[in-house]
Amino acid sequence: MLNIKNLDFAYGKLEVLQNINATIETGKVTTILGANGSGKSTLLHILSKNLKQQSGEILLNEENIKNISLKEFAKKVAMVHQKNNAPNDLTVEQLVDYGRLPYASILKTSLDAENQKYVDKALALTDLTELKDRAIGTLSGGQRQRAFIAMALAQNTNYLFLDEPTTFLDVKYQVEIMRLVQKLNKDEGITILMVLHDINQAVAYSDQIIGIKKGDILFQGQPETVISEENIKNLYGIDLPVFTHEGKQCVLAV
Amino acid sequence: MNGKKTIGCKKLGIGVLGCLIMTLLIVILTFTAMKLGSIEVTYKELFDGLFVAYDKKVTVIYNLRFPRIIVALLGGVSLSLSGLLFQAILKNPLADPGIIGISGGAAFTSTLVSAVFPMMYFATPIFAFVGGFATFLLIYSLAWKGSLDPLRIILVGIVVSAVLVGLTEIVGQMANRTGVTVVVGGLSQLVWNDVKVLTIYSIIGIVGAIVFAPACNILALEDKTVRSLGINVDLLRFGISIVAVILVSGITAVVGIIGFLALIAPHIARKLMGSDHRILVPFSALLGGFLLLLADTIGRIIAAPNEISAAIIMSVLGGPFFILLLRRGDTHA
Repeated sequence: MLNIKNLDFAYGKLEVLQNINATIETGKVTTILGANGSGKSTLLHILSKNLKQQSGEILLNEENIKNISLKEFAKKVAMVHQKNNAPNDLTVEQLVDYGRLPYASILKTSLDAENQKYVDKALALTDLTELKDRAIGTLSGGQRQRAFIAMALAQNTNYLFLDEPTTFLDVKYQVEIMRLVQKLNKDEGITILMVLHDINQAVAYSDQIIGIKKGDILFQGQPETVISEENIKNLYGIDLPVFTHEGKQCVLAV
Repeated sequence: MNGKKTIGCKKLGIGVLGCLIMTLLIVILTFTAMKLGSIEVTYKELFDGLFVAYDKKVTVIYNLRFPRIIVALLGGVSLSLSGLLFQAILKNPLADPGIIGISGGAAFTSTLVSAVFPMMYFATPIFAFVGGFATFLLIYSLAWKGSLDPLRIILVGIVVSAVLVGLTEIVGQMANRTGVTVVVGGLSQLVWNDVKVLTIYSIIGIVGAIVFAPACNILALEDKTVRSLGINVDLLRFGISIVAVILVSGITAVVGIIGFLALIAPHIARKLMGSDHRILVPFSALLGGFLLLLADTIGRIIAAPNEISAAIIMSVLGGPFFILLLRRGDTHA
């Protein structure tokens, strides 16, 4: 369980998050929604120890994350970022190997059989086993994103954070990635926390949704209870029709 | 290594082959450079003079030409590796210790020291290191705005570099020495002592570069991705930059600033060998040594008996190459 208590964050004088309180439950999929600049990605970066909050605490299974070393933390929480760079000639497998760095020394160049097991599993889960010798530069957008998810999976963590994992992908790859995330949660029991832009994907794949507006939590709860025309208008500042399709809310973003 | 797949066999093979070819080229060039120059000898005379009996001509060559060849090789290795490391830590293929002012900083402090305390000759590389590292911190902090903008590093570096080179000239001329020779690196008038000094710095730097090669590969990912893998990126970058500055300090203290080599050699290496630093480190090192010795040898013979400094040869050949790089954009391949 991840507990966020009275979290404040500012970039210099620019306040980004004020007094955030939330709980990310173990074994669930939680999605953060919010307009551009609302502070949702910032929150994710603080939760993953990429940024440091000015005040407040974050407890990962009762342990304050500021007391966990970066390396130990990387064995508990993995993160897939929105923008990913890698040398074009790096192979998929070499990239996924990097996911074992928390368990090895950065100055070492080889992996033993024990570590290789996790790499193979990550490749299999993301359907990349066949492509493991391909160079990153030759992959499609969706394959590429899967490779970075595989790297995160190789870290063998209980928590996986994803920052807008579908932003640069077309709809087919978006759904592919979302289904992969769902599979990781259901089959592997990985707790998911992600930031999404697509409200419908958030509703379809999440157990809990947190809506952030200007650094404040506007709402949090199950999709059915929090996604309404009123909340959407408050969150994004636009009137959009919300209707129900097969028991789930849909937002017509036109 | 415990035999587990590390580098793909094919790539490792190309890497080894490339390094062997470079080594062979260096050997050929070294023998050519020994022979060429104002004093003509045959290889037999050279061999006899070195190992069999005293020969005046060979002694002169031993005392003048040999140190120069070794300094060119070690200096080329150092500069090339320094460029490779800077390019890795700044995620910028245009990062050259000359362009971003590190060499300028090193030249400034070493000139200052040799002008004010000429007796501390042996320690000049240490002062060069201090100057180079201070400059690195200055450029890094000036260019940092939440993240490293590659363009800002170059812009800030060019300005800092210009100021430092200017200051070095001022110090050199005030001390009534030929400041120009410190700024524009030339390899004439080198002695065995220079070789000793440079060897120490080069060995530390080369070992450091080899140790950090796998880490340089990881730095090709986004900083936040590296951090997510449990690695303290800032500390890592700091460690590698110390090695890079050591590499550039030694050669700058001994011969002055030599531009472009640190830019060109790693770039050619990447074009030929790809992005794996475990291959790039040895290959760019050899390529750097080869190019600087080539430039120095060309400079020695092209207008004999006059000499053109290796730095000038490097600039004349390197300048157009640099423009070509700029036109190709900042692909970090």
